[in-house]
Amino acid sequence: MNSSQMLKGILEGCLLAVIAKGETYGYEMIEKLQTYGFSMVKEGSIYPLLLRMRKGKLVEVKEKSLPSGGPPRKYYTITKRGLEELEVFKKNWADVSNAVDNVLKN
Amino acid sequence: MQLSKKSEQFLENLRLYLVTSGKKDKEINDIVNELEDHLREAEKRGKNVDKIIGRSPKEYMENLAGEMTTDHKMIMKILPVFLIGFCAFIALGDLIKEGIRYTWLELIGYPVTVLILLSIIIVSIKGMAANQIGEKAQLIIMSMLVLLQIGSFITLIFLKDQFGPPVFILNEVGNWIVGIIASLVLITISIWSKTWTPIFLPFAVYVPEVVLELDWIAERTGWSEVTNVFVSTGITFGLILIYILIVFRTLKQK
Repeated sequence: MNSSQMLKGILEGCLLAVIAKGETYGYEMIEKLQTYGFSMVKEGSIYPLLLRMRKGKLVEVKEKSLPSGGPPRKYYTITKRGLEELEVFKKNWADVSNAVDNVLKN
Repeated sequence: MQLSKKSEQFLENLRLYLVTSGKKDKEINDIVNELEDHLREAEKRGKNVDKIIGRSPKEYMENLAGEMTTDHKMIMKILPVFLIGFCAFIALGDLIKEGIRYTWLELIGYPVTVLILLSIIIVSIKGMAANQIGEKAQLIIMSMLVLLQIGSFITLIFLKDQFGPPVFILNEVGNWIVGIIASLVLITISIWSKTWTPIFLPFAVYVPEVVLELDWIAERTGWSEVTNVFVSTGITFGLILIYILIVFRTLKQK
């Protein structure tokens, strides 16, 4: 696993967490991630992940048209399976971060 | 707010890349629209498309394509239709000139050549889209591709008598029947595919040649057969190029 793959996995988990907080769309997700400090992530990189999460039925999409024109906006909500996946991620992350902390402390 | 030209070009190229990768139409529209929405929001806040896509556009397109479903069913449908249409197109041209009489070289050579050419065209379009080639370079590459197509068929036509006598010959009634079937096939494909190409292409390729060879015209130009071939090929080339440009422009406006 190289560092970008690792970041991808982490990003996927964080996206799930952001979507779990309530219906949201692509641009808003990246803004939220950035306020949490994810400045190393290119904005476009969330879309391949969202495609995969959609295919895996972790999230659902609803389209809503915008008053300002342009294409309809896609709003994401988390599914039951997505919530389960999020729990798995939380546990894995706790293990990893715990392990890393231990290594760095010693 | 209008999108910047750069963003628009990126979205066009992305669409072209995904179409030539055989992805499903609906998924293509979905992702292109979603990215358009994102780019609009980002540009409103003064961000630039390079910052959003990161790395190379090519890598980003590959990344997206990797997560999308390839429409194998559609490809398996389009390929035979394309081949049948192409056979109708060739048959129609031969009918106009000398009636149906094919040597082995032609019976095998035409389908093989067209499949090779088709793959070259698709790979080139995909490559151009992924590498964000400028309009001028695109035009040059397209012209070379059209020349390559015309060139390979002229080569086949010159070579056909070198490889034995015709093995497939039709009489006049046969020719008429083939002609009617071929025209119906091309019209049907045109309606099915919702494009003018299956009708326009035979027109562009055969009509200039036939017109130049009409007694009434030939007497006035006094051109030799070779000159006629060159002039009509030139007209055909021009017509196809104009057609491609028009199709491209309408595609972009969508």
